[in-house]
Amino acid sequence: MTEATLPAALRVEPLVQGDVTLAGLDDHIRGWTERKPPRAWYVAITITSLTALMGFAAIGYMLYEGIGIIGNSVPVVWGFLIINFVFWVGIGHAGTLISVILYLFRQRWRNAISRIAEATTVFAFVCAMMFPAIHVGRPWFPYWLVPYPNQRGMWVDFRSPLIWDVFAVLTYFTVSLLFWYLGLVPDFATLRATAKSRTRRAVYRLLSWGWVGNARQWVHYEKGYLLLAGMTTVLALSVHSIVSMDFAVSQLPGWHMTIFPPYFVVGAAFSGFAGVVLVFAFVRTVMQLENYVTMRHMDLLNRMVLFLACVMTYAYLMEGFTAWYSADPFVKYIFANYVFGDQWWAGTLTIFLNCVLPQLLWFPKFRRSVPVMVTVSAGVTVGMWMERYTIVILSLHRGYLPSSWGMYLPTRYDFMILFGSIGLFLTLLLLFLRKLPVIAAWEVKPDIVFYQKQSAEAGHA
Amino acid sequence: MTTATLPETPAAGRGSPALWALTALGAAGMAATYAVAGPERFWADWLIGFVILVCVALGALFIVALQHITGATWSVPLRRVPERLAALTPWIVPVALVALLSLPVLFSWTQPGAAADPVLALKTSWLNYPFFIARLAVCVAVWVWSYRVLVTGSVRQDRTRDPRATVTMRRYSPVFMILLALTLTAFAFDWVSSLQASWYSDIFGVYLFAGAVTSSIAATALLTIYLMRRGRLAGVTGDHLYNLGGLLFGFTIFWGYIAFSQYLLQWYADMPGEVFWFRERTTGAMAGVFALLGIGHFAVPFLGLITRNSKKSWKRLCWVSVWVLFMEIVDVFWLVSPIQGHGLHLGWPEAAFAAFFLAGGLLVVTRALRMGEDTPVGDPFLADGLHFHLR
Repeated sequence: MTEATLPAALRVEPLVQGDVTLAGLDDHIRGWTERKPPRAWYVAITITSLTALMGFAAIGYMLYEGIGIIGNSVPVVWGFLIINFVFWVGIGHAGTLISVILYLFRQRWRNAISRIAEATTVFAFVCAMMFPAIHVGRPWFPYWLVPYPNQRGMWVDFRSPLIWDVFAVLTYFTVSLLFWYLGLVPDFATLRATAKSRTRRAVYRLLSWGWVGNARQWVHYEKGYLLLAGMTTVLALSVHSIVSMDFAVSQLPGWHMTIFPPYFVVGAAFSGFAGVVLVFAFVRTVMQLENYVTMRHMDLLNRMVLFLACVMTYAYLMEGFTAWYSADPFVKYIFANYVFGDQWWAGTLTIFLNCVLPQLLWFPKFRRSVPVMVTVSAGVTVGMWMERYTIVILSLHRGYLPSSWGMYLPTRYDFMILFGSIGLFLTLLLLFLRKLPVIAAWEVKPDIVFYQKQSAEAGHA
Repeated sequence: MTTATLPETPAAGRGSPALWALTALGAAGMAATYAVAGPERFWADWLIGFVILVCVALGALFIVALQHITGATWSVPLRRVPERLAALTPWIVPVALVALLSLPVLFSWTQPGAAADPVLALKTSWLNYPFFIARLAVCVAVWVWSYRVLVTGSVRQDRTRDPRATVTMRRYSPVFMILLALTLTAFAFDWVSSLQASWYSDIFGVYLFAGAVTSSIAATALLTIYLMRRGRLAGVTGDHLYNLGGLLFGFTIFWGYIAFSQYLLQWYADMPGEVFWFRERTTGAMAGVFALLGIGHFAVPFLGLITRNSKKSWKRLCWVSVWVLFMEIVDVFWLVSPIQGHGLHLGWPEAAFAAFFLAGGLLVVTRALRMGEDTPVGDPFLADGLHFHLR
């Protein structure tokens, strides 16, 4: 059956569009690294770096003055800092899922978006790793978390999920960074060949490790890429599962749930995908990438957001159902408290933003509308932060005894640190967009060749 | 790969006499079980058969819907295989009707003392006969209806060659996925978890789902290899098997992940209200089954399929699939059997039930092998699927 006789719903759009050529792609990507960026970039990075600076100032003040300046209290001993940690680890899952898992599933549409997705992973993990370090009670001993030889006569508790966390997060960060870098190598070589300034050429030469792109190198390269992809997939599953175990191995109502590991992984991917949609909604127009990251890409990304929203809804339903089904008065109370308690808005907002709002994406029209996708994805990003707020704060603020009931109120320093981390993330992202190839050219090029061939055939017919 | 054409088995349509004999023998053994070993043993074994039937049938429907929802083309030439496997779905109706008789025997919430139990008393608005049966009716209705849309519609497309049928099935698939998630979870909580109604684990629906999909992929792989070896799937190559093997490998990891995290969390927290369930399944005579499950359901298929070549080799995929199906039986046995109290309830009654359900299931599937063409010839993407090659 030929393409033309297919019903419209079954036709597949090409992955690139317009007047694209191999050289055009290289020129386009190189253009951004060689040219002076537009004024808007300077404005943006000034704002984001100042925000980041504000966050660091707040952290500095907290280290100087003590942890009392933030909202943590008894019984809510885990506050914004842990919420932010879980939130950023979550955002950091998009890169892996888009880049690695879709790669294993041979989804070619991931090629054009993988590079930026991987970058968000790395930067989100930079933000995430900051939080446990500043959250430990004695911030001058953060290295106690790392198992080192036993001369000091003390040994970390391997039965503590907090220790598993150190391993999981550090491993995942290392491997994500390696994977991102491995993908960049051929593109660095392209930049090396054409960089105008001598310094830039020297830097790219160093970064591309003598890549010449002969067949032998490609054979090794693709094998290595595939193996690393396979390993990263397992790591991606493990890291947020272990973050979830920080909560779930406890006996605390609201935390001790067997659904937590997969639910955290899905939630992480969910917020990550939403984050990537947000980034692309702006980047693809500002950097004129519409021919490479087409509306079909955005459509597919939004389908993923919708799919994950449905899985999240299932998880919330199961939590609610099991809370009731457990017949445990404490578990029942905590879950009712999420939506009916003093901070009812936290649970309600979580459900609305993560379950209800994304249902808009069932409509093809909305999946391709930038305002709608920005609204939904921004909603999901906030919603997933609220979810962690609900889990961390609302489960802690009601103990078993009324004497251990408390109220949590964040202070201005909590917000300064939170916004500071967002500033840090955006600053790193802006630097990346300015100086590194934003599209994995070597992966998109086969799609361009395929597209050109198809267009030529259509022209002849 | 070589596809040496084997002679068609003479009775492929009606089902071989050996299968009929085995089914009859199993039925006789089942009757003897009721008479000799008692109703509890009988109903526990019937329930094991029922759960496995639901898992394999719905897993097959899931594979079909998954292909539609993702718009996969590589799998189009293979799609008739899980569709035929899904022909087990309508047979859920009689097996479920019989299984209803097990309610007063097996389930903790139907026992006379249940009303006095403080925990069970709180669950009576969910666990009571009318609502329980109504849920089952809704579930089975959804499954049979989905079978009609996804499979009967696809077989009809063989004749009509109408690409709009593909659109219909693609549109229905997301709806089916949502319904499957809800119904399979309800089934898992009702028919397995509520045997010991004071126990709960909110991942349990996903646990059963993971086993269902793993075993259905294994069954699909076996049936595909069977047809390939008889030359009935022309154009299907080792590359297609590689993908099936990859899916089996992936879902094996998924099952291992879900099973391990469920176990770890309840073991670690060690709360008496939930850990008793695992205690009954990991100590005494069940300790061996538990170990077998961990090694057999995860490590064996994981190592067996980890290399690229092993996924392309029909021999390797064949024995791994047989093993995985065996492990699904072990898994459901491990879930259900311990409600009969201490000890390993394994003997001739279980052999009889296995013979009945396996041979009976094979009779249904061999009959389904006559359903439609061997490949969905009306699917507009069949040619794309036949051209599929690994890079």
